[in-house]
Amino acid sequence: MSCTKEIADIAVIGSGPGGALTAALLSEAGKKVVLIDKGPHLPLTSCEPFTIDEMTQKYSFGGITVAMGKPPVSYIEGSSVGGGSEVNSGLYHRTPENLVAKWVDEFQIKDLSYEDLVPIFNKNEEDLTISYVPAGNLPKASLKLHEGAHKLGWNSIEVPRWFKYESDGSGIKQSMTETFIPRALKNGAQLISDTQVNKISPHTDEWHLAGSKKNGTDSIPFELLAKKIFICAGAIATPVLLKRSGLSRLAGKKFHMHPSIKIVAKFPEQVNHFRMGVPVHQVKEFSPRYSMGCSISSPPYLSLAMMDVQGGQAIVDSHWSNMAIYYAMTTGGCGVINPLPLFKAPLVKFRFTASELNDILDAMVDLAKCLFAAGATEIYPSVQNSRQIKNMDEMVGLRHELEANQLNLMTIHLFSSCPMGENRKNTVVNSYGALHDHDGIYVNDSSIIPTALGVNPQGTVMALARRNVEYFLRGNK
Amino acid sequence: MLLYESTVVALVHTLAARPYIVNEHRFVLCQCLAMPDFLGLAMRILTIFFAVYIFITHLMPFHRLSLKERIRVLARLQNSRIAVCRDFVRFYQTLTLFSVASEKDWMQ
Repeated sequence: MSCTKEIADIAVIGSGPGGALTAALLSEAGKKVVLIDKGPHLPLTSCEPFTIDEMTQKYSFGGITVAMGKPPVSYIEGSSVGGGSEVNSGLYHRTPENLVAKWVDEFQIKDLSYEDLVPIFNKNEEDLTISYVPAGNLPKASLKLHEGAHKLGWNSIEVPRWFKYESDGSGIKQSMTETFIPRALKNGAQLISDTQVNKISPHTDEWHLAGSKKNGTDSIPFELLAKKIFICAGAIATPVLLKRSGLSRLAGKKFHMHPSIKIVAKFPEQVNHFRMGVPVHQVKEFSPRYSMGCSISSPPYLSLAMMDVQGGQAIVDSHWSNMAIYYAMTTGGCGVINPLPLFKAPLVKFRFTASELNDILDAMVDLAKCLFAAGATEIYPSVQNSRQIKNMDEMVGLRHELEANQLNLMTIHLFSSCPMGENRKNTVVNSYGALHDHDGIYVNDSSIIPTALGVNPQGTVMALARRNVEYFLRGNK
Repeated sequence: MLLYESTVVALVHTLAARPYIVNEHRFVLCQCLAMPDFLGLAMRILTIFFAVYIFITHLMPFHRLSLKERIRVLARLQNSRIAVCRDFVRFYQTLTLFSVASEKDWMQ
């Protein structure tokens, strides 16, 4: 396949939540599907989650990816087969109901309503075994956030995950390599890993895909002909491929993310242990403006989060089991993605308005309030030249001192680089993911989500992907 | 070893502030290769510029300086008013710190 021009019914580029689901449903419907991914095909268990090994094996560009701006925003994407589902926390939300109505209006999306999505959510939830952490197994650090919110009278929820739990409380994340990719393969789909598609061009009645396939330390040319293509390479790579192929000018002109700021909190009692697992509580009191949650708090992550604190490493060394990392996640800001001539990686830029930066600072202050209410004795906001904060007066003082470029922002949620809808001024694909002005090319990943969600996006990515594939299989363009 | 690699190894072991352990600099060099190519090129150019600057000002390559002197050089860059100097050290410090913390036995 790698050097010859075979013809596939459908090529699916990218095997994350959008691509894996697309490949599975298409192959189950009898289509000849080729699923292509730039990363290696590794089992979920190839490394411990949230470790340095995972960073080297499964993060795009080694995890050193940044959206340039003031302040810059570090972002992380999965790069192995299964994409982001292999490295994320597996937290599940349905699409917020009020957003769907807003999208229909602003982007002129046809035949979309929350009610239409409900049966689709149900199918995905069944396929991914969406479930809550068994009673008694909730991480203490997560419960602390819930406790703080409860004391303040704030809305805090436990978020379910795509996880199959055993009776002893252990479980397996239902990532794409555990669910939809085996389903696709079982139904005849061909998986080509370690293969990057760089350009798509028309070729008589088909589309020609050209790129390269890793072969040890070398790479060999890759070519494929396909009658239809589903591009599901993620919010950054999808618009880059469309732009490099000259297929869309609007792709990547705008994108959104969830810029998040972190705070390390220290409690008088133990809240952390070596296998703490994934925290599942989120404070939604201020949603959609911002929400809060608890983050992975392993000692290496704590060390990184305390990097800007004088003597931070010594504090982590002696108190890590009393410490945890929390985040405040916002929805503001807007970015642009551009391929760079002569370079493989694209240039990603992101900017905030003054009011959006204020939202981030307000979110940080409210997170601090929640943590003190939960009993934290000291906190350390993730800002350059950070320091120990012991009460809200000190926190408010720090907030007024901070300048934008001191904020250490990060995200793992990126979307909206190729929005869907019929409004040709702000959309790249139509209401069902078909690329405007070109027959046979579809986008079916987080790129098509019209705006920032304010919740973990995988549930929405998969709901829209299933809706669009089902429409396609009904014989529509 | 080339000037770039020698300088990165010395930077990592200065920032790690502990005896020479291969895993750290191997991880940092590996991540420098994996990172976005335009950023990797910029970091390589900065690192070589840093190495040449140190050679000119100290008449000795960075990796041949004493640990005390290397720490002093990096502290000066960390406190510099020029953002690119601070960011240069911060980049290597982040990777080194994560590597050192990942190697540590936290169960003790």
